Amino acid sequence: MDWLYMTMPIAGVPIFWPGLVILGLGVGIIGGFFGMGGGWMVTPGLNILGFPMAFAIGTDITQMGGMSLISSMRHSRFGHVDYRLGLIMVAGTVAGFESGAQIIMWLERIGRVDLFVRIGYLTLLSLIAWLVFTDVSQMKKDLKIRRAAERGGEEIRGIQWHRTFQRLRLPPVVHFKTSGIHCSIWLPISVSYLTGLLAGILGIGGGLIRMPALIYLIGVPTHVAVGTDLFEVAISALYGAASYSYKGRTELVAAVIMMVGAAIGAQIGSVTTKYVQGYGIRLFFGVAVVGCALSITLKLIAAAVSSWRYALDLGAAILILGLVGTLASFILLRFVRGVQEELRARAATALAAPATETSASAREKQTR
Amino acid sequence: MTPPQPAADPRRRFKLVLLFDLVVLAELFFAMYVAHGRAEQFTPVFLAVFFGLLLPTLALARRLLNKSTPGQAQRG
Repeated sequence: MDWLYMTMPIAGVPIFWPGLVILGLGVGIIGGFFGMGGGWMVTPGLNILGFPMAFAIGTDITQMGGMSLISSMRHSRFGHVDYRLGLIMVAGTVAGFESGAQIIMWLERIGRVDLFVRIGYLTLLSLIAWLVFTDVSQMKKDLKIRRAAERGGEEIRGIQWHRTFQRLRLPPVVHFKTSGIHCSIWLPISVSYLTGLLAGILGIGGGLIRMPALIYLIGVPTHVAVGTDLFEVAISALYGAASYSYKGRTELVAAVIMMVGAAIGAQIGSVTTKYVQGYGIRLFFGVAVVGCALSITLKLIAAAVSSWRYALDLGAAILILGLVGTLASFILLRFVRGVQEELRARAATALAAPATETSASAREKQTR
Repeated sequence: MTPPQPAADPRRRFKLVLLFDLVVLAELFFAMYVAHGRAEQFTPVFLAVFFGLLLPTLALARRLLNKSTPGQAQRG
């Protein structure tokens, strides 16, 4: 069974490749279910499976490029992509991504890439966990505000930062028809540069940061922000894939293997959203993110304390793969249950229909 | 004459998707098995075998799934 282990052609490290299928499947299920790319799980997951960090980022971004391109093409059919804004933002995204990739190459040369990327991930995961856990309380607050506004007849106003930024009329000023906004061209360029920089450093699509930035800093309507963000993720991920491939930090075979798993998982994840509702799921997701952050913390401690290195590395690997596995299994279970219930309901309806017809005709005969 | 109803069965569609997912997985394992041990030519052999099998499979899956979609089935 030695064919189940392969030496990565470029990185030269031995990998248990079915692990890549399982990781891709888990990430696909979770990503499809929560509507996220799941890049934040892939880079640490690949690193734990044995990929050096720079290769983990390059491979992750290549896999994401393929997946996001398909998603954005589907989204554009609904007219939710502001192409003018998207194309202007490409300049900032590409420049930001290239700066991020150069920082990674420099950190790799000085031997600090693992530490830096892990701290970056820890910050990002803490941000996601904070967002998820405050979501429920925020929803309750919003409900209270809405009720108060309905009573007093006042308009509900959320965060209005974009109005301040839109007032900065540094020429040239551009009108974005799909988004219905008027602002300096430098506003989307600077926002996309910063999000591209983060994407390049962490090896993520940047959607997690870019989507709120489009809404709160530029003032794009939410549905257009989602579509335009997907378009940007596709562009930045494909550029990132080309950039990391040129630098020899992409394992194409590993990306293809993961894409197969992710494509299957995404079908399961997206269908399961039909059967599962409620905030309990979001809290469960928040717990998984905290677990992921904990696993990276273990890796950081392992790098600092050499005597505990083996135990801590093993603990981190078990924790992250266990979490992805548990979450994916939970979603898979709900998927199976949902499908079973739906099929049962269909069968019951099919049985009930002829019975109703028969009783109706019998009643008709009796009346006659 | 009404078109044949079994084609629009969601259970059949679900089984088809599941079957093709398993076929793609089997193709991946087969491509890895074939490419194994060819250190120099690993990537080109893997890609040629895998995509050589995957593309016809996807075309066939699309054709059969389109047939099992109610709207498409009635039109076809």
